[in-house]
Amino acid sequence: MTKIKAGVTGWGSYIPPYRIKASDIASLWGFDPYTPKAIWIEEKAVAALDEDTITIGWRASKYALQRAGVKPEEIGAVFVGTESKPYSVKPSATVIADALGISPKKLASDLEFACRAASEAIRISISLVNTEMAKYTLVVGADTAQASPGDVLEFTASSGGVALVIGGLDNAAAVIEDSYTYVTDTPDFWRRSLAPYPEHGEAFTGEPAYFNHIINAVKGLFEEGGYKPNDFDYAVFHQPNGKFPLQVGAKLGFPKEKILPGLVTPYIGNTYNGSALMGFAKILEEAKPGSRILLAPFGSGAGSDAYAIVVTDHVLEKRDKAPKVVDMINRKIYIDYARYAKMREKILRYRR
Amino acid sequence: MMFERSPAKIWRNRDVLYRLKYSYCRDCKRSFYPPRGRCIYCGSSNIEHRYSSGRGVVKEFTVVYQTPVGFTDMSPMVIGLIEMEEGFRLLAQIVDVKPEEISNGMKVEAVLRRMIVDGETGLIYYGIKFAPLIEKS
Repeated sequence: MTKIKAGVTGWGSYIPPYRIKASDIASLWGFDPYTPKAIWIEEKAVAALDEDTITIGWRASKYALQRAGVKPEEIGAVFVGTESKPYSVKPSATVIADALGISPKKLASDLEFACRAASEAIRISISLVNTEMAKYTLVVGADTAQASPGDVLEFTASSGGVALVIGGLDNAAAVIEDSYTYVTDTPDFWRRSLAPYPEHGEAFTGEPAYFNHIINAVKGLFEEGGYKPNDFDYAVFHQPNGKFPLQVGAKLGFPKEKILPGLVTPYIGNTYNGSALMGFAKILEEAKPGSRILLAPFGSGAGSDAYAIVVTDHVLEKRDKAPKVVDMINRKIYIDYARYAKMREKILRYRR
Repeated sequence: MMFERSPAKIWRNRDVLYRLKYSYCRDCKRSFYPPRGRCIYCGSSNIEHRYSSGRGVVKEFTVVYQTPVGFTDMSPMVIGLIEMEEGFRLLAQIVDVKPEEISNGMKVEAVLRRMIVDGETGLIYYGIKFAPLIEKS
């Protein structure tokens, strides 16, 4: 493995306050009431009518810059990982960058790899920082996830985002020790151009996609870095529901006690590109310096990255500089299905 | 700030709309928004442009049910008079809080939100609204 000289200088997250209970969705569409429990989803966050990936990403980025203590003009690249771009053609990254005062002298682009695009942005950022092509980069993972009304995906597809400032080792809240990526062509979940909602391969999304890719990425990290499960204090996996992360963790030898602190999907839903990163952000807000975190995002299509990340003393001075994940999980405005349908623009009507 | 569906005007004003750029008068030491080249209080041109922290408090507010075309989906809309930390005041929409839970003196922070979406194919216009400050644990 190439020696990594990069870390997480700052982090921020944003979860909209609106919540719909999974039991309300199950009731409306006539699902077995046990269905949400079977995948462990209690409720999910819903973006307001005037929110999208850009506004969510902006808010998370603002908090990430506060924690990083970095001037916006020091950011040399802005990447937005999302599968819910407000524009098909027009970057989200440039709007977020301009609205934060980031200098025009930068790289900026939106990346797409289902829920894993922001993780790809982390890997690119490591390269930019390692080669000193950028002092700091801003990585945004944000989505307003789509789900066809009545599809089982509707239980979990939610809205939220996380932003990371990636920089050198000085002043890093967490140091990225090692990383490994495992990517193949696997048709488990897709959305065609102009299609409003994604299609998915039902059970096929599990074994050959989620489990196969995460397990191979983590095993690759272990083999090349000489790690074993006991070397990690926390394990955060992509969390399409509450059940899969515990299952993949068990297959890799992680007890649930190391997974539960970073498992947020049961309470806010799957924020797609924010999913694993939200759990990671929560752990940065709770872990002791010296703790080692396994982070393994996953994206359909399919691919997974595994990172070994060690928390430093700097995390303590940064935590209170912005709202925490748990603050936003606990901030709730409950809505019924009718309001949810309005907010997610699922009501067909004539527009003036 | 009034929102006009003009890409050129929005582009020219993006610092004002996205980042709350305001003016500070070096002579009378007062701030105002939107920024101008001459002080609205003393007429001085000894002006400095600055960016707001985004933090403020609600001084007054009203709930609008008869919303104008383009904003009907947001009804009921809460419009507040916000006093910023830097001393200037502005009118803006307050979001993410039930009208009955808003009170004068409530702490708010500036948030980037969609202002107007121009039909199915036009531009999405972004700007600053205000949301309750998230309480930190």
